[in-house]
Amino acid sequence: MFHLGKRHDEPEIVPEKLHERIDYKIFIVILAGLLFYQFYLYSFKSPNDPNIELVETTVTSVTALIASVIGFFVAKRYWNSRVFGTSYLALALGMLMNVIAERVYYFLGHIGQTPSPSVADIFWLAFYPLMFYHLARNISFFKPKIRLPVKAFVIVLPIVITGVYAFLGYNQEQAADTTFFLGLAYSIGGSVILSGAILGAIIFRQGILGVPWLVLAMGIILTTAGDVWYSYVDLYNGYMITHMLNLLWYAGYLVIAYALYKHKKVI
Amino acid sequence: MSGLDTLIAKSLDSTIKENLGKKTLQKVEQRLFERYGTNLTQSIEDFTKLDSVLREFFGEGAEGLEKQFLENIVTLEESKTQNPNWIAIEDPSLAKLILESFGDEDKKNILNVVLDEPRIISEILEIAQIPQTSGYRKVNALIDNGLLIVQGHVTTHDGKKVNKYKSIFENITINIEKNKVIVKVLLVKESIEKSSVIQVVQCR
Repeated sequence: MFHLGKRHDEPEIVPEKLHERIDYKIFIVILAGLLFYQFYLYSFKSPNDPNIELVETTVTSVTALIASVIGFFVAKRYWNSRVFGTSYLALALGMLMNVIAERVYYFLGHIGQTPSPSVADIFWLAFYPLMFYHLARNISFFKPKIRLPVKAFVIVLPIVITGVYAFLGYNQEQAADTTFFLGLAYSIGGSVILSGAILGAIIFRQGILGVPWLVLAMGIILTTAGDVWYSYVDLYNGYMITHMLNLLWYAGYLVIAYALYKHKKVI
Repeated sequence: MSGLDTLIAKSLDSTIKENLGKKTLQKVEQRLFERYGTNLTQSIEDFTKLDSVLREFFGEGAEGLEKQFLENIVTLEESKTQNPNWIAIEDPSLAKLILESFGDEDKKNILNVVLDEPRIISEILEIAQIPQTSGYRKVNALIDNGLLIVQGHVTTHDGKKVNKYKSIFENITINIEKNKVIVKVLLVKESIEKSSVIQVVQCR
């Protein structure tokens, strides 16, 4: 009988320790794809071309949908389990909120209504409590002793991010209007989940589950950076559909999707 | 294996399955088998093995996970006014097992006989006035469920060593509050001292 590839007479060696690596090629592919996409957007003659909005909303919806679908697959894998089952379902629903928000935003713009602030913001903001639930459910279940510097970092980080946004934003606006408060809500939401994701990555870092959590934290760093940047740019009315900051959201969603795939793979 | 560890092992796999899912349980069991050649229940005997596998998966998260396992099953009484060896049984299946054992007249008599001092099986059956056939079956069931533990042995006239058994409880209280049955047991000191689960979790 022919044996292709693996030789069956060789004993299988059980690894002394389980290992899992981040495949950085995935990040290069995501980066290259997004840069290519951004150059494609610049190829349009006018930034007001209606096709740009359609392309943009499709890309945002699809990237968030990829993460959501993988999230549902992971949730199904641990269906009915109190920690993994419910927390990954919350994450998948959170990503789905982003998809719905994008569709609502596009629809409102299409019928000539102001897309933001609007009902679309409710769906975008709904992402944060769902993601927070995912993080809190896992962290509270696996709660190890957390060292004081880590605790301090986790508390100070959202305060600093929100404080910087509030300071710069208020200096610009000289008034606390709806746009300012909406931006503040995004900054608080983004920075709190960022803190949680970093804490999760610290807790699991010595185990193979640390890899998906590190990737998840990277994804949330990207989306939070996008949120804070958007909130700030929006204060100046400087946001355009072709703005570079969109890439942070797309990259964030795709990296979160990769984190979910990694989770499914390791456990 | 310590009697307490046997009791905990009965509920451990259901706790992992309920919280982290069947697939996670399979992964942990698979790794335990390929690395140590044991299953989950056996790994309780040497809890450091299970601990090392859980750490491979969850890093420092394993510490919290192990505490959760223990807390879902039993709660160690930490009140200064109470004896520290009292534990509250949180796991309903475990509470049921204990209640069923005390609900069976023969098993209750067996446990009462070895409450204060360890005895060999024939002696237990003689004092409790239970027929040998059903008596041995019931004693073995109590040993399998971790309610009787080996404590010392006697040497017979033909040189054979025969184990002496003792109840893992010194005392038991059963309270019914509304619809909840609360079972608290006072464990014998050795049972806690010999429990590798308690030792690993409490050393942190």
